Amino acid sequence: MLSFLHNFAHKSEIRESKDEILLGEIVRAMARQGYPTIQFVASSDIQRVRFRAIGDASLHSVFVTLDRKTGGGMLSEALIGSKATLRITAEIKNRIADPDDLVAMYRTDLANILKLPALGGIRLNHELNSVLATTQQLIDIDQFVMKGDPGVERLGRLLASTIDRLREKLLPYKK
Amino acid sequence: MALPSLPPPDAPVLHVHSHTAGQFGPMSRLDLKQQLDDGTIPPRSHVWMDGMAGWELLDEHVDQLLADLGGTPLAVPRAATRPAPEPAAEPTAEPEPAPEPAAAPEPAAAPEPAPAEVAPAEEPQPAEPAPAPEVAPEPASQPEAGEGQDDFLDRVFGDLVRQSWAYLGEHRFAAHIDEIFVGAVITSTLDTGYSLIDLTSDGTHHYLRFENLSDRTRTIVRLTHLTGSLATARVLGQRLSAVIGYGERVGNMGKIWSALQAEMKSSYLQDAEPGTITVDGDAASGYVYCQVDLYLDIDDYVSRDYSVDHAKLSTHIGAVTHALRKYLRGRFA
Repeated sequence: MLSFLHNFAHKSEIRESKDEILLGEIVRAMARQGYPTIQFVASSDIQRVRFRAIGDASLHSVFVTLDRKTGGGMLSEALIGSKATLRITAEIKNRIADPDDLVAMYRTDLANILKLPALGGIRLNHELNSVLATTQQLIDIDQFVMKGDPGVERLGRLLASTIDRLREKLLPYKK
Repeated sequence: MALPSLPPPDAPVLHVHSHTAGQFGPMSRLDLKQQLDDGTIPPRSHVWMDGMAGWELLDEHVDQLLADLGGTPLAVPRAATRPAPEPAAEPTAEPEPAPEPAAAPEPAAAPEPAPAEVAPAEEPQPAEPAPAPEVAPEPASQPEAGEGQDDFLDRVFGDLVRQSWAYLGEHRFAAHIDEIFVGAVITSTLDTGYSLIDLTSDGTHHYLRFENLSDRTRTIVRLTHLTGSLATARVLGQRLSAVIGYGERVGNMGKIWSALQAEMKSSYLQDAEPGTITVDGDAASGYVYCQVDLYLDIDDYVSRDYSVDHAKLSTHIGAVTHALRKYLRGRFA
């Protein structure tokens, strides 16, 4: 009886931890691509990690935010699966900013009105020394965790291709 | 100790290691002089070349290495960094600690010694090597030959801006080094077959819990960054308070009860000191955890160029969990 209760509690705990398991794999996948962590903001609802883009001639840092939406409970996992939004932001930094950048900021702000990161679009946020490009997608955590090497490789490809898209969008703003 | 032989000025045979600036080389004596001159290599680094038994202080060999290249570089203010050794003199400033003996390259080993930045063999390396940390350039004080006044002032302005970014980068690195370490702990622990199952962090206090999903053993790591400012880090080094724990599910209520009793005794410890093992029992999940308090020097694992000695980190965490596993099984099995 005790063993049954412990097994039940353990399964529940692992189900609730799937977003953390995915986050751990993200940290490892990013480390393998040359992005060490430089900031963690992690609570029970949302996890945000910032990575330094070492060896990347254009990017300065990358933010990954994982926000779990469903699958924390047994019923919701069975019905909907473990869904989460994965938001990735890439940042370039220019050493010198000048008043012309203020004009560029307004242009990108206007262009942003029609961009929806949630639909895979890339939204630009132009600050003074930084320009940030953000995209967001809804993912199924079960595609990536507890799937062995294929899941880890799929995650690595997703991160690399997304960062490549963001980098391409940011390159015109790199001074 | 004298060098085994003086290599030709342009032969890339020297390896230089600094705990603060990272790993350099192989490089020639000419490159060494250049990088000492521009401050890329700190003078209190260690040097190794083929034929040397281990890493030795660079400033003990710098005169010999640069004797035929135009003298000691400007960046080695020998009298200022270390007084000349006098017999029975007062203790001198503590030199930068030598790299771990085990990390020194074997004479017959591969030519790359890379003592502190060795990644696990199975981990793919980034396509590009990590760049050297940004070094604050010294703004020029006079124009170069043929350079106009306007170009000269533009160049000085550019150097001042770059220098400011480099200073800011140093402060940020000092503040973020614990988070580089947290990422390294995650990567190293996942590489040993564990999965991250819990993470909370407020930027200074970090709590990580891992589980091996096959055998259900757990590792917990609680880290608190003690030296977040650049000034403190430069005086003390980058220190962390770490609590590392190991947990297993125990089979029956009697063992859990025994663990809860041990937990109650552990609660009498107001401030655990290094090496103190405390016990924590979780009746709901059936887990018993043993944990120990330690202090770690992050500079031992993370270099200024953001590279991480995953092999050393993995070995150290593995040694602690091994000891705790033995204790837990001996105490509660």
